[in-house]
Amino acid sequence: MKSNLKTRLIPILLYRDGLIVKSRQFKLFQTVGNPFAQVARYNKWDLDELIYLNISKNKNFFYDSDIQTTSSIGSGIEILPKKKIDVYEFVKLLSKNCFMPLTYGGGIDSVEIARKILKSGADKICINSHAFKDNKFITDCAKEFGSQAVIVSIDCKKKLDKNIVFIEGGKLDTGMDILEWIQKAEALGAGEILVNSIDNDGVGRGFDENLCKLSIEKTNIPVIICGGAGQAEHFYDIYKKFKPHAMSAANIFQFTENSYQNIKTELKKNKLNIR
Amino acid sequence: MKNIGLVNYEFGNTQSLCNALDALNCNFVLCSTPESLEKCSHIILPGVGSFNSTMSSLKKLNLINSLNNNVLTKKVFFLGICVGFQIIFSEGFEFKNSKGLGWIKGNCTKIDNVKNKDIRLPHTGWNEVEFPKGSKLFKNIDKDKSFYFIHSFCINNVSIDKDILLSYSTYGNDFVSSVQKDNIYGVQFHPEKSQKNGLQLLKNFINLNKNEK
Repeated sequence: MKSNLKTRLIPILLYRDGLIVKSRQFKLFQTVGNPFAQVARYNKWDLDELIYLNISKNKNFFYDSDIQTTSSIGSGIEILPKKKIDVYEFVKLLSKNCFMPLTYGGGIDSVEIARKILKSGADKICINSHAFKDNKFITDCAKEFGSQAVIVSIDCKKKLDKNIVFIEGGKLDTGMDILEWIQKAEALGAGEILVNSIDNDGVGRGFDENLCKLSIEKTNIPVIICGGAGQAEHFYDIYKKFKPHAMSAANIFQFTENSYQNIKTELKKNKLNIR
Repeated sequence: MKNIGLVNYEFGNTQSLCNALDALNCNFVLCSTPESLEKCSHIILPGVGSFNSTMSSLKKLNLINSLNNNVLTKKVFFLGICVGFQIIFSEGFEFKNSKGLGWIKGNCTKIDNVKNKDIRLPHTGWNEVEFPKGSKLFKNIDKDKSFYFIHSFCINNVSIDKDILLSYSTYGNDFVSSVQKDNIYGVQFHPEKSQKNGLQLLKNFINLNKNEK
C-alpha cells in the first residue's frame, strides 16, 4: 500500500482578549501581536493549514482597541474592524484571505454555534472542554457537519507514568488517562485528534515522543501532535520516529522570521514527505 | 458574457468559495433556485458532507432538473468540488445507496483502508495530483502539484472510462482526483483551500470559453 499524502505542518495562533499571545505550560501569556496582522503574515507564508484558538475569558466578542494601534503594514489585509464584533464576524474576517484549511476553536459549546462558525468560513471546529463534559456533543457535531469538520483537542499533563487529561484551559484535572479519552473521542465521531502536552507547551525542548507514539498507536484517525517544538530538528526527530499525520506549534512560528519556510526547507532537504 | 453561478445550498462551504472568487476579482451570483441557474455560463457546485445528504438537499431546492438541463442540454461549463464532484457519478454508497446525477458512469465508494493502519480516514491533507494528460483546468499549475483533500469516499480508478480521467492520486490505492467530460469538470480536492495552485485552477475554470476549442 502506498500513499503520497504529506505530513502537515500547522501553525497555531492563540488569541486572548484582543491579541495574539504566547503561552508556556498554559500559564504565562506574553503578547506577540495583533490577530489580523498575524493571519495576513501567515497567508503569505503558503501554510498547509491554520488552527486559530480563542483562549479569552469572554469568547463571544472581540475587541479591537489594540488592533488599530498595531495595524498591519503591507500585510495584504485591508479590513480592520473598528468596533466590537462577534465571533462569526471575526471568523469571516479571518477566512477572507485564507486559502488553506482554517480551524477555529474556543468556547464552542453548541451545534448552533459550530454551524455558524463553519458558515462564516471556518472549515473545521476544534472542541475540547465541552466535548469532554458532554460526550454526545462530538457525535452531534459529526452527524451535522461530518467527522472531517470535527477536531477534538486534548490537553494532557504527565502524572507518574500516565498522561492525564486536563480541561478548562489546563486548569481542571479530569483524572482520565488520555488513551481512554482518545479512543472514546474517535468512537464518538471525531475526525482528527489534536494532542497537546501541557508540560512541553512553550518550552521548546521537543515533542513528547511517548505521547505521540501512544496517540498514533491507539487511534485510526489522523493525529495532530502539539507542544514543545523549538527548532527544525524537533520536527525532524518526531517525523522520523513516528510519522505523525500533522505536526503543529505556536511560538516557533511567531518569533522567528520566515521560520515556517525555513523549517520546511530544512525538512525537505532531508527528504521528508512534506509539502 | 460570463455569468458565474455558485450553487448555494445547505451543505456547501459557500463562504470559502466566495472568498476565493473574490480574490480572483470574479463577479458571481449565489444560486439557490432553478431560475438563477438559467442565466449562468459557468456553474460551480461546492460540496462538504455526504453523497446522500447533498443529493437530498439539491432535490429539496428543486435544482436537479435545472442542473441536468443547463449542463447536459445547454452545455454550460460545470465544476463539481469534493462531494459536488462525487454526485456527478451514477451512484454513491455513503450511509445508504443513493443515485447520483449520473452524468458520468462510475461509483463512489469508501476508501479501502481495511488492511492498513497507515491509511487513515478521512484522507486529510495535501496529496499529489498526477495529471497524465494536459488539460486547460491544470494550466500554469506549479510542478509540485499538491492539493488539499478531505474525504473518506472516492471514485475508484477502475470504475470509470479512461477517456475522461484528468488525474489520479494515491492513498493506499489510486483514486480519481479529477475528471473532464466535454463541458463537465470535477475535482475531488478543494481548490478553494489549496493556496496558489487552487486559485489558479479556479481561474482556469472561469476562463473556459465556449468559442475556444
